[in-house]
Amino acid sequence: MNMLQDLGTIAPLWIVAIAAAVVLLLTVTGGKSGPAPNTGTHLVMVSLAALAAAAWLLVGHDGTKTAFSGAIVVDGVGVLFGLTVIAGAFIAIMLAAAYLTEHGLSQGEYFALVLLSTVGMMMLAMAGDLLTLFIGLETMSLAVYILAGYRRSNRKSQEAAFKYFVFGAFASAFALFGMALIYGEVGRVSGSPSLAFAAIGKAYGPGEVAAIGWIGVALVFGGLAFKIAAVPFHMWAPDVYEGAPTPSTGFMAVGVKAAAFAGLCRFVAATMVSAEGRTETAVLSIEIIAIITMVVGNLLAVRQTQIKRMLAYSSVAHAGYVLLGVAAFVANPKPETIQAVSYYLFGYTAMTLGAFGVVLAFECQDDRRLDLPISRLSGIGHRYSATALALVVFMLALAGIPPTAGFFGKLAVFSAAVDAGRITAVIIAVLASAVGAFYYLRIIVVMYMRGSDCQEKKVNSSWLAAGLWACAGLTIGVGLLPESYLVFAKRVLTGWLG
Amino acid sequence: MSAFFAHSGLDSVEGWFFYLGAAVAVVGALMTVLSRSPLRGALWLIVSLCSVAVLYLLLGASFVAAMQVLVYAGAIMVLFIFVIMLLNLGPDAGVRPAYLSVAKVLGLGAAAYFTFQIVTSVSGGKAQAVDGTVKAVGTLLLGNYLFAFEAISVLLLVAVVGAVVLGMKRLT
Repeated sequence: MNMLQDLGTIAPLWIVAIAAAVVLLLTVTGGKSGPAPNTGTHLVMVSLAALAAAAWLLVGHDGTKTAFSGAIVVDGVGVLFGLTVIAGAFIAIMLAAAYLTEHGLSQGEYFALVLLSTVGMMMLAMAGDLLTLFIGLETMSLAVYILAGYRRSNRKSQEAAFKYFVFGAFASAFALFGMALIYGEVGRVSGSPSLAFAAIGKAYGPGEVAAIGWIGVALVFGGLAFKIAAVPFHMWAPDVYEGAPTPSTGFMAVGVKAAAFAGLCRFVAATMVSAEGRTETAVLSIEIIAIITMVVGNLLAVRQTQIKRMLAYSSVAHAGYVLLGVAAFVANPKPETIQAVSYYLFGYTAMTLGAFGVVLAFECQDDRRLDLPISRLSGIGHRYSATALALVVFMLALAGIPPTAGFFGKLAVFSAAVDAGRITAVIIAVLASAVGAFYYLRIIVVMYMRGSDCQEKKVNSSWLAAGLWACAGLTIGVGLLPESYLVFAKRVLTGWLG
Repeated sequence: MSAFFAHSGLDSVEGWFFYLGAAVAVVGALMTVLSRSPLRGALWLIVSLCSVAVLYLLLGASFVAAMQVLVYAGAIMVLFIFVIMLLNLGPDAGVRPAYLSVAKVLGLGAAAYFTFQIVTSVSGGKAQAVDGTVKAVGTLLLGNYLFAFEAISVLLLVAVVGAVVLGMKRLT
């Protein structure tokens, strides 16, 4: 039956959604005295098993399949970005298991929200029309707003959730307004209004779309740019990253960004890539946003004294590099560029989550002061050599130094941009990442070269250790063997873009 | 003169109703933004929402029109007003005047630009009536838009879990 086939195609989505429901049920039936906070191993196991199953299905996926009259498209983009958000959720849950136990917070709801948010992210990555894209965006965001405010006893966490929610609601409203304009314009040009990317591509192709249709494109672009924290939509990032519980920060830094980039790739492929005569303007606009984003992100990161704020600005800068890849894709639409972008985001997921994992290990446990100034890392290299070594790996990767995933990611994205003829932008990007290397390497200097009388306590948890090992392994492994990822990406992307 | 009436749709009763509904909707929306008291703004929003429902009716979307009145003008506005009264918001609560004037200039500029673009790109078009009965909407929801319909339930689940997490008495 057709319905069964459709359900088979979207199996990764409902497996994770059902796992979330199971986790919630296990939480409520956890004991007579209500949810027991520290007995969550089975909850972690259920969550991780569901994510692994979804990833396994995606890895084995072949070709392009559509489901539910085109609402969901499982193709190369869906598989690659879907795997990236699953990897992010997988490691974030491991980090959260350590964090929630350490801080005595309830686990079930947290894992369920991470899983449901992942469902939204996968919807976003596999969206076949703007409606699915929007519902995915909202499912993902709503869960992350709550994850940001999960530590209710902490004022900064409350502030983070509220700020993120209010700004995010505005961004979503703008995106929705843009979608309405696109819907109407597609109807005017082609005779039947539609939200499907295929129909949008046909309508935007011949260059008959009026200015109002391009305003719609700009509004949707802005809504997605908010999620990836591109300048000038980045204002929320430092405060929210700092205030949110650290595993939530890691999850929103990698998952939300990767999913929003997936949506962005699909959206620009439908509107800008196919449009005649407008492509150069579109490329230039994206490129300018990319350049401002990487320059502002890197320059502001240098001045930060709190490591979480520094990582927030660093994630803004990385959004700029990836946006450069998107601009290259619009200028020169080849599957290889999408390959480079997805490789970059996969490596970024591992190294950023790893960095937040180390922050989690050392940050202050007091509810009134949940911070970790960079200066407090001094001497950690001598006392906790393994954890410090992991942080060295993540910092080198973020700085883009071989043989890590960070280096090959930058190489792939920048060479895609050179192929597309965006030389000036690449030169600025290389200069910006040189500035970035300064503040990443400074952390290593602080850890090893200053004072060896370190008094810091460290969170001891096997989940945390496992998460850090996974991140470090992925960061180096994907960096040493970029071919294995790229061959897989090439296989799933075959036939994409026709 | 009669050509003008025919072109602008004023030669039919529907045309007159359309302009009446559209004008009230715009005035209501303007008053929502311009009211100094949040409560008055919310009440004006009800006016605007109800007149948009009239426009839906004229397009033949009777079910959507009914939902607009029941859900938006009814349930959601009750929530708005409840929150405004709960927070006891006075006139111009918490907005600094400097920001307000910048916002006014930017907002007016954006509104003028949008109006210009919409008028120039959609004038002369004719809206098509749709089949807006409950049956037609139901067929669409459970047919073409089945995935969105089901995906919304995941979104609502997130909202419910979130409300419990943020509202629970003690989260340990």
